[in-house]
Amino acid sequence: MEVLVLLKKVPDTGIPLKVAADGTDIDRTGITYVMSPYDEYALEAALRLKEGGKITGLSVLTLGDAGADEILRTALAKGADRAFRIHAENFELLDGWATARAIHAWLKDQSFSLILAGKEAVDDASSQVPFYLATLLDWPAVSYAVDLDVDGDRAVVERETDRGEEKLALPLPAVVAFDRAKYEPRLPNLRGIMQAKRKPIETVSVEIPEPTVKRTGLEMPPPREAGRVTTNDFPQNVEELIQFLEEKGLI
Amino acid sequence: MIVAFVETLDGVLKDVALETVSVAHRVKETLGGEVVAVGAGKKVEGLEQLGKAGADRVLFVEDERLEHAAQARAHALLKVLEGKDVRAVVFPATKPGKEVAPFVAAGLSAPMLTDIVDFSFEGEALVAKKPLYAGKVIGTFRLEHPVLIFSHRPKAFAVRRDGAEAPVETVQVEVDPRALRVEVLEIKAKEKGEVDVAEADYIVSGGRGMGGPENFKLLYDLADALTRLTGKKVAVGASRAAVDAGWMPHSHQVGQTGKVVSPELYIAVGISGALQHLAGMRTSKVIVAINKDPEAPIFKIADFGVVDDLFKVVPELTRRLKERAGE
Ligand SMILES: Cc1cc2nc3c(=O)[nH]c(=O)nc-3n(C[C@H](O)[C@H](O)[C@H](O)COP(=O)(O)OP(=O)(O)OC[C@H]3O[C@@H](n4cnc5c(N)ncnc54)[C@H](O)[C@@H]3O)c2cc1C
Repeated sequence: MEVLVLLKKVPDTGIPLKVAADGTDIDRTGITYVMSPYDEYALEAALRLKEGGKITGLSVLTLGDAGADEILRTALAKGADRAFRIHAENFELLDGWATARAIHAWLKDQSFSLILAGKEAVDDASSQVPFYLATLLDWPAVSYAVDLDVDGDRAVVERETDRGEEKLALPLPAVVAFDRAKYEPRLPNLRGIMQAKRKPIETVSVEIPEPTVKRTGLEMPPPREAGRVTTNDFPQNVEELIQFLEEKGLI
Repeated sequence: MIVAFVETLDGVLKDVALETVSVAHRVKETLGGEVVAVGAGKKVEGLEQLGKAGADRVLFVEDERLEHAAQARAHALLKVLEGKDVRAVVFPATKPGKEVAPFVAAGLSAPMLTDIVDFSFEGEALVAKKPLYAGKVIGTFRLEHPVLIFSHRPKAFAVRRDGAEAPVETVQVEVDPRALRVEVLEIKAKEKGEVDVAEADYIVSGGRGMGGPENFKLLYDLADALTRLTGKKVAVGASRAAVDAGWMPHSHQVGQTGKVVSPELYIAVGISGALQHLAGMRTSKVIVAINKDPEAPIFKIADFGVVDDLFKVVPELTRRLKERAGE
């Protein structure tokens, strides 16, 4: 049984960003990229299935520019068997519908039984691609997985929703989108990194649909007004805090 | 017609549904037609109240089988909308809304926009703003399509309350078994009564500075005092450090890999203010920080800061608030 994990290249979440001078993009100087954190949890779940002998092959796919090969390389170093990149220079400007159709154009000729992804990529947090894909494939799908097992011809998913903890079964083939998992993603080890150098990354060309949702501008969020920090000692500082809450009409 | 998705959970109408209907009403001001609030799942009381926020009528598919899987709910929605002149479908960008919306958009072969915080129209094209990169940047997007599908950030739009109660119609649809392929094996429901951070008016959040799980009692006491004094819904949140340490469940986590919240008041206690934490709470209306380190980055975005030991400040604050509440 072959599993595919979808990965997206995003700016490292720990870096402050600003809008570039011409206003059409973020300022890319000094930005480093990572695989989107929820995708990383999905990959970790797949690696665990592989180690448990539940699946035979683990492939990863990104839709992105040449720079996205780096996150594929990381996935290979962690233990993925094969990596694919659908080439798209403007991948950050595509809407979920365009992205999903491009991925589907490639996917329809493949034979995966399970597709894993993050519940959303942390750049535009759109929560769209896995679910558009599931619909195009006519497969069952759920989001917010925190753990996953394969039991015969079904995927057993534990997930966290507003209701609480749920355990669900999906007949395969299926799509499962991950929230923060029950476990932390591993780091690649040296052996994995060496092996990854010999594993191929296949670049795939498909027609990339025009996005219907068009980005027309970028701006910085309104700055928060500088607040005040009390210099009083205890317990006057608490008194001042209470006054502040009162001024704001909060108590 | 303009459709507002009605969020319900196990027979309870969620407050956010009033926001979704209000947003749909704002769309109607430009596109015209009627606002129809549509939901599906277990039987719910009080749906007529959605009229106050601007729904002209409410359609609800009563079918317990639709309660659990978003795909099933989306399928029911699509069935209800079949053959109707739908100009827009509005969802809340909540956990359930973000899962149902893309299935509906996919079913209509339409694009969609997630988590918008403001919008206007250029002719019949939607021009919307949405946070990108966890709110570090705001993007403007233009969507021109026969059916405009989008989700709105909770608490980003005002709720209308000037309408009259709306007529509610319970509808039956024939559910395709393929939409019911997800099987429920087990549910461990959350304890009732605890306010979810995503729905709270006020949040009191604790970080690594809390020092251990037992000390979160201090925050629950503070939350309780605030509730008694103000009648607001107050939740206890946590930073990732506190969640990773196992002091609080992940469902309480605020931030990049937790929940994004915009309460009226956010009190950060023993939280340094890492970018990934700010990603989840920087749009709170008022931010208060209690931290013993004057250099903590949280003070850069706090409206009011107390530089002191939380173990002194929090109990004293709770005591004073209780005093005010007349206890
Ligand atoms: C991909 C990714 C995603 C992430 N997602 C999230 C997320 O969703 N949410 C999140 O919160 N973080 C997230 N993080 C982690 C984030 O980078 C920080 O590590 C985390 O927010 C730190 O939590 P903290 O502020 O509680 O702890 P610390 O940074 O250790 O801060 C503790 C603070 O408590 C103060 N303190 C200690 N004792 C006292 C006392 N007695 N009285 C008063 N103050 C005291 C200290 O001065 C310090 O400022 C993420 C990181 C990554 C890489």
